[in-house]
Amino acid sequence: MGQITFITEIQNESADASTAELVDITTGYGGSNPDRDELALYLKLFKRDSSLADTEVIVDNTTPLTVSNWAFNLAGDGWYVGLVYGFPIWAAGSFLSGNCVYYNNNYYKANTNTSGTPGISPNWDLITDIQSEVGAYATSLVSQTQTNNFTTAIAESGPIGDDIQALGQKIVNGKCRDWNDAASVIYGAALLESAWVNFRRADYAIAQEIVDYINSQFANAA
Amino acid sequence: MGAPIRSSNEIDSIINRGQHSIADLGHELVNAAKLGKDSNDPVQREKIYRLILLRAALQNLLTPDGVIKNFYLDSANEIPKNKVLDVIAKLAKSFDGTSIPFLGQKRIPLYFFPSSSGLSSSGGASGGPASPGGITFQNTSVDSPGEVVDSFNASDSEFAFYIYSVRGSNSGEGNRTGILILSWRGTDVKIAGDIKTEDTGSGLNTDGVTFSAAVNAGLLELTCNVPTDNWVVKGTRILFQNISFQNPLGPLPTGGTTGQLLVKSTDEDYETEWTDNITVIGIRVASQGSNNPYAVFVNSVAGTGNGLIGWDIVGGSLISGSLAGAFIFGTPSAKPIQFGTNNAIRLTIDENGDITARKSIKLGVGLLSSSSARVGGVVYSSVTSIGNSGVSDTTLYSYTVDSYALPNNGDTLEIFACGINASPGSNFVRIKIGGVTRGEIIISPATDNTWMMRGKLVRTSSSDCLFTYEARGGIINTIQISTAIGPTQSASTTISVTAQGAASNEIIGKHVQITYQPTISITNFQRSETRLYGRCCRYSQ
Repeated sequence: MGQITFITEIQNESADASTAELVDITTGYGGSNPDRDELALYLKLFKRDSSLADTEVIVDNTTPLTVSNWAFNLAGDGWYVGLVYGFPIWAAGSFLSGNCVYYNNNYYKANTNTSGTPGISPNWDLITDIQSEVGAYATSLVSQTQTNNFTTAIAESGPIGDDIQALGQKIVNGKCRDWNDAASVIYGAALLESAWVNFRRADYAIAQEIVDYINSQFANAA
Repeated sequence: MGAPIRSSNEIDSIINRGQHSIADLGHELVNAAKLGKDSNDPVQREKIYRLILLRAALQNLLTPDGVIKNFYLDSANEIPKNKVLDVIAKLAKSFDGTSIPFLGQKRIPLYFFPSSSGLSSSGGASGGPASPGGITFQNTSVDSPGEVVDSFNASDSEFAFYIYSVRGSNSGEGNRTGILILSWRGTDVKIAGDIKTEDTGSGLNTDGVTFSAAVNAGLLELTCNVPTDNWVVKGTRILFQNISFQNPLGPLPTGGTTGQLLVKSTDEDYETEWTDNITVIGIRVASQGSNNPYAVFVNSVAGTGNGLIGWDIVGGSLISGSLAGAFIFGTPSAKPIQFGTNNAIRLTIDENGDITARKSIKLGVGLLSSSSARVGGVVYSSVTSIGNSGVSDTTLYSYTVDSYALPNNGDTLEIFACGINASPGSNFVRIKIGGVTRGEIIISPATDNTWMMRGKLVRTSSSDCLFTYEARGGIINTIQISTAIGPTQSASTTISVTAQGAASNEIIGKHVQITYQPTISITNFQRSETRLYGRCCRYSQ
């Protein structure tokens, strides 16, 4: 079975920047790879700070067969690391030792060659901690991808948003009354752009530093 | 226009260099800022504007998806395109690097989420709670050249919205309504708008009436400038960062009196009324006039109250016969009141006023030095005159005591019986507990023609009691103290007084009374027991 590289992206940030969704935008389903409906997806999501320390962000993994986006509470702007696991869905047949499957709301790994039913046959071991157990498995057993995701919703809705709002009051008949204020707003937007570009070129920690700076220092610059 | 000045590879390289420069400049600026550099530093300032201009140039050239805009793809616009590319190349300086990919096949745009938008019902974190409506103001006599018609703390906001009306009182002066918007920062106040109706009143006008605003001593003052005296100015001021237009509060209902409450009058939106009575989840807070506040616990929203608690100021208002000034707790209908503790009913006042206590009642708590008196009482009494029948043992009186009637060790039932010897002889009067004779007197010819027996049945454990007795008018038989008899915690017991004579009606019972006496602190009252029943009290020391 082919392996899929999962692709995710943070979208649908709420207006108050308290929640967002990690959306599965994987393009590799089908063909030589499993179709989406042949996989159970499980996500571990972490907020990673600029010093590379992780804090888990809880997501709902109760609908692995159909999930296409995971809602979560924004725990700050910046770098979100997602560990996406794709388990084949068990169906009657023969499985080799080490094969991992999803069946009946649980995840299993065959401890020997088996045609038994997970949860009934002793030939299947229940996987209780996917990250610690599956993370060490070969990708031939479980499709798994670490995705890096980025959001600046909090900065945009907070300091930059406020500054843009404040600047709006100073534009009369299309004329800006204070160029310094305007420059400050544009500067904040440019820093956000810089954060994004750093993220896109995989300088994740730097991107995180920039949004941290915006959120902590840039408020009310206008 | 000729061949392109730059090849596509060269253009891609310039764009790529611009993107890397944006990434690097942002990082450099943040790091420098953390070291205390700001825009007063020339290097920092140069980087700030280079970053701004680079972003502007790239946004000018590219679509949000990162491809060159159609405008610049048009060969007629080669020159401006190359000028923009020149700007990017110069601002990016010599930096170059690998191509920077776009995410998800598109460029991530800068979204703008206003931090206090649309959250009128709860308010955003920085916007504060929405406060529908506004503050009204008026000055009913504005004289020339003008007067302040509204003022408030300028720090409350930095912008305001006014709806006003002016009305002249002199000949030729008319009316108008208008709208003003104000913005201020510090003492710099700008006023604009004055979108106004035409003057009303045939041939009348409001010429010369204008508005101005200024900050004085921390107050934002709105001044109405008038050409003559006695102008009436009214209006509403809204500090509109906190105003919600999504769910405005409708006009309040008219009327109402001091202390009344606003409640929903129908299920329709905004339909309200003033009322003295509010029902909330089965509780109706009410008053009779302004003097008798009380709460009624109802069995339905519109139902009749089944229980009330309140203050009857005038007396007789909440419950018939209640005293003036009394605090009332009761049921206005034929319902009992019960008091419970530890998930058990302890005291009941039924609808007829009878009071039932499941256990003893203490009196004088805190008055007695070491304990309190317990209230017992008569549980059975009869004054029916009954004689014995024939020569057999005849039950004169009988009373059945429930199980658990004596819940505590020391709880006592006192049995008192008396009567007469109609024909003195060898007759017997007995007290039986559970059908077994526990007290007996033999009445002989030498005795008085009256008799009396008094016995005490004292619980000593959950499974047995102690019975003792005294008597007059006869010879006490040998049965004086009985133990291991009922009632017990689990079994009821019948107490009876019987008589046996040589013929009918030789013994006549006149009165029997059984009294329940709850226990108290046994240690403290041993001597009392000894004095009263010294003949045979088990507790004598």
